[in-house]
Amino acid sequence: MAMTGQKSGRMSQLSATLADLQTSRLAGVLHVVGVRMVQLLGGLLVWDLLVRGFQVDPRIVPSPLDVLESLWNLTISGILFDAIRITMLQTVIGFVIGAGLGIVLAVTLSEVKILKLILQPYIVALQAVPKVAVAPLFLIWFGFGMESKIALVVSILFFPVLVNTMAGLDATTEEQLELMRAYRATRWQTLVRLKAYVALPFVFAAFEVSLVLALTASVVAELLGSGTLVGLGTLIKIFDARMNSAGIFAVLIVLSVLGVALHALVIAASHRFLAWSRPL
Amino acid sequence: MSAPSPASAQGQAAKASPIHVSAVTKVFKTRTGDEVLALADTTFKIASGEFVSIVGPSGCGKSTVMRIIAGLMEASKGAVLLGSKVVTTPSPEIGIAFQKAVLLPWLPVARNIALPAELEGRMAKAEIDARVDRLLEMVRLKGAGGRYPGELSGGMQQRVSIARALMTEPSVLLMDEPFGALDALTREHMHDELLAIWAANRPTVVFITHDIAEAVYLSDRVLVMASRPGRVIADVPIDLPRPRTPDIRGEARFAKLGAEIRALIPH
Repeated sequence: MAMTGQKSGRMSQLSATLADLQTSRLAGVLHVVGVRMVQLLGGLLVWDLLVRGFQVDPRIVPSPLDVLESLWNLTISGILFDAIRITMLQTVIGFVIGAGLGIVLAVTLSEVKILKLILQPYIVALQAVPKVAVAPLFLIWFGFGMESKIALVVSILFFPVLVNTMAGLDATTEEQLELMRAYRATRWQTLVRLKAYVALPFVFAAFEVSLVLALTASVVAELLGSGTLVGLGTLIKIFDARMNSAGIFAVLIVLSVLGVALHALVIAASHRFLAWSRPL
Repeated sequence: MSAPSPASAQGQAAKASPIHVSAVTKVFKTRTGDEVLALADTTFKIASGEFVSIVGPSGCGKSTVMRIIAGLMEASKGAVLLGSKVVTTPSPEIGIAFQKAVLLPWLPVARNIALPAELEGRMAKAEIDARVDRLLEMVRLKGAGGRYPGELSGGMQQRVSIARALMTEPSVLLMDEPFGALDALTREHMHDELLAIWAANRPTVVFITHDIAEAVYLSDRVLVMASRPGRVIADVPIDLPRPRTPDIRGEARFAKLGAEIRALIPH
């Protein structure tokens, strides 16, 4: 009984500390936001001063005001959102297909060792090919629509996910496998109750790298062979043809924000699903 | 602890299989191709419902014997009989507590304990929950069922793994130095809890330890093993009365048995 009393005392103390932590966390967030705003404005100011001071040709480096204006025009005309939609669609669909195929093949190869032995050399060879170099082929195979862009995203994502997932599935310890054997786990049970969880941190590590890479691939695919749809990469090409550097800079800023957002999404997901793997 | 009805206790006693380790030899190949004789022509019997400890210096093959009994490892020569069946793969009759806790860090404590039953898939959810609650209480982790292994101390993790070994009410219990990581007080508590479980269900127990006092306190018999090659060199009956209570640790007979076994262990 005495122990329970002590425990509940400690609990209320703990919740008080948590409340403190939440207020201080809010203050911390505001602090960080403030610092970031100062950094942003300071950066823009330095940029502006340099461009004006050295009288840089706006076709080489535009002033921040020109870029903001371009960004504004792109936004109100609706062109920007259409472009974001198309590029993100390519990125996300490519990510889902590429990651899905990578995971499925990784599980198949790690469960059927003979298949792994047969396919390993092909995988190594294909992995070594720079995927961007295959992009022209994707254009021939899949045409000028979204499909060829998605294909490039898939090809770039597929291997890191495959390789990492395979490493993750093999990362079980001898003791864990023995435990499953001792309790007569079936192969399927060992896969879904042990190996899948052991592999999860590896899979998320691959996602963390490859989701931002997928965005790059999506843009590169448009740069290499744009077509019927105007994504962010195509937009860059259009501005490039007109020597509109401010427009290109505006798109670059948008891409940077998208990349950061995608990365934050993976981090948030990994915090959600890998809470157990981090010591308290 | 809820006392089981005498009828169910008898039912369990009738089921518990004896173990017959018959001329078992185990040879390991090292990476350099050398052969190491881990176990040489080892034979012993453990009666149904008997509590037997195996003591010996490290490297004497006591863990190897346990793993062969468990069906986790094949004997190079000889065989193990569980009841009348030759052991080839892990049997559902057996519960195992390993030296290390080996908990799954993504499952809360309660689900770790329930794992053997969930894998077997025969127990109803409500039955599993009730049993997990009782086991948590027994290993003094009541209220910790929702916590994750990473939040527990080494001793607590080990207690979870012992509860897991008892989950399916095995008729044969194999324990490989299960209390080695526990502090002295918890360990003595676990001794009495283990003896209470044993008295209630009368499983056949093989208990591996290098703690002689622990072996004497728990067992009906203590097998002493020697190394290079691993083999059983003595079989010491422990004639202390049961049920055993902590005060027998102070008795002369207890000390004498301990000294006798110690003298048998080669250095």
